[in-house]
Amino acid sequence: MSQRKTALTLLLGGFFAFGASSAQDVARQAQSEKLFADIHRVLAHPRCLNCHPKGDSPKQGLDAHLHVPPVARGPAGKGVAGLQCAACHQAENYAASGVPGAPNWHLAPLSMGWENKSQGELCRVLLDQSKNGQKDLKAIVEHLTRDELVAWGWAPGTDADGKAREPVPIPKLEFNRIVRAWAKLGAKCPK
Amino acid sequence: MISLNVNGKTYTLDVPPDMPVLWAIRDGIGLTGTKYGCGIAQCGACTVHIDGNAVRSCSMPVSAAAGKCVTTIENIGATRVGKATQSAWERLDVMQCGYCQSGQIMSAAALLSGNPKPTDADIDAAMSGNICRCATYVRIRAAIHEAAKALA
Amino acid sequence: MTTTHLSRREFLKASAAATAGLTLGFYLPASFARTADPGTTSGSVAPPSFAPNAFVRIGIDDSVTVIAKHVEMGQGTYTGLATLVAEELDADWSKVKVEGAPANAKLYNNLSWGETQGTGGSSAIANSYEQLRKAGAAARAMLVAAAAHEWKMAPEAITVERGVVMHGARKLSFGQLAEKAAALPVPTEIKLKDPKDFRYIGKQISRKDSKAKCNGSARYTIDMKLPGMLTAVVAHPRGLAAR
Repeated sequence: MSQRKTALTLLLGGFFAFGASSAQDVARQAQSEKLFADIHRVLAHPRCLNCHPKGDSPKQGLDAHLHVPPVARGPAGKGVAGLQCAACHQAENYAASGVPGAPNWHLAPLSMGWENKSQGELCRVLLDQSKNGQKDLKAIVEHLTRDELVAWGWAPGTDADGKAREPVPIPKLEFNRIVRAWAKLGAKCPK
Repeated sequence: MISLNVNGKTYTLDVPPDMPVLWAIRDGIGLTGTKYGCGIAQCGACTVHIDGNAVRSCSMPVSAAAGKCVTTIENIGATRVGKATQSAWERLDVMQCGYCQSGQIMSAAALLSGNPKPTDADIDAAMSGNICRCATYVRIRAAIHEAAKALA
Repeated sequence: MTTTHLSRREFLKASAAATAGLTLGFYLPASFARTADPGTTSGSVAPPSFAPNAFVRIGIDDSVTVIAKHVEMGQGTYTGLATLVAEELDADWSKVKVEGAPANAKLYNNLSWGETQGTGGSSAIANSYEQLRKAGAAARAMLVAAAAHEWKMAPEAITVERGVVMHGARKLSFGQLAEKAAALPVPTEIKLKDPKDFRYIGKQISRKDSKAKCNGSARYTIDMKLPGMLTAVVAHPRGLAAR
């Protein structure tokens, strides 16, 4: 084959190859975004969002009202001297008092305050190592699928009236599957 | 049978493991200084110290308190901070009906242990879980400042 | 000039059970012996130390116990009623204790309400003002009379200050005079202080219930335990209009 023909073939071949992988990328992006939409349904649910506030106070309840009694973040997200989270919240839900509980009950750091964030914004914050406590993708997946405090969202116990709290909208096993799939597809964020 | 260490003494109680610490203390042991106000961690009257930290005893099962050091209002005066807090409360005649004051004093002592010079905002944040129907809040705040001065 | 009359026979009947100290009060049935301590557990009856319907008791240890006919709910009645007595008695405020009166509508009635023992409507101090001051003044007069007897002199020159009866260098405390005073008749004429001489009434004074409310020893209804006692709790419906 002549040099020019080879170059042309290579160029055309390159275009086709690029086009093919670009299509694949588009498909992956779309697939990843779809998966994140489901992840977002969980993360933006009050059971999660209430302890990922923009400010220094958690919210409470499905209607996300201000936590009663008023409590403050403190230096480590565990409350202030005299009123720590652990004053009321123990390692397990407690039916007798209606107070929810899970190991290491505390507020997410301010950098992980998700209130009023769009899907894309939340996704980008989640992946930002400077904001998420130095977690790489593997650690993020671990956190979402295995952390005990995160898992509370699926078993939130009963309130002071004995009424069961509404858990997050996607069952745990399915959520875990979605998170891993999202990560495998490159952990793409919506716009 | 649950073994509880309260005010330096060990008690063996025949109570179900999910009984709130509050009732184990009041009925099981007979220390009635810690009060029941709501049972749902909304009033603070039940506040005790577990390993030095303020805890609402209505919201902790006895099983979670086993092996830990429980301190109640009856013995908080054994600590320097607790004694100063009680003295300030007495000097300023903080109380009226007094029902909430055991919890108030326990929370205040926990505050002063962790923050020896609390500002008014610190006091707000730390004491917001202790309700007083007689509204002695102004004197509570003054007594915390007074105790802080005495401890300085 | 205010007066109080109590026959000697009535007085002696009332203090028949007295062991040590001075009692002032009215006729009391012998069966009425329970002490006023709400903290008593197991329903046991403490042996009577002296007739419990008096408003004042003075111990040989110099303690002054005021029997409060109104309920302390935080509004300060115990302290207020004790102040009335302590003022006319010229007691040492630090030695004054307060005990709640037992149930007895004849002896401890709210004078604004007829024969009803009760606290309310901001009536406690108003209805007790003269009554308790007289109780304190009568006790003072008897202590002074006892000292006068002891020192063989007229009572008019004797003064009382913070629990101590004195004349010149001679001093006797309330506790030292209590038993002697108890043997004397209750005065028929009682003079109350001129308000300009008030030491306690109208001045800032420390509460008598503070200490117990600071250290967990103050007893509330929920803290009481009696043998065979049942506890009732409200069975709440699960929601509005539920059955």
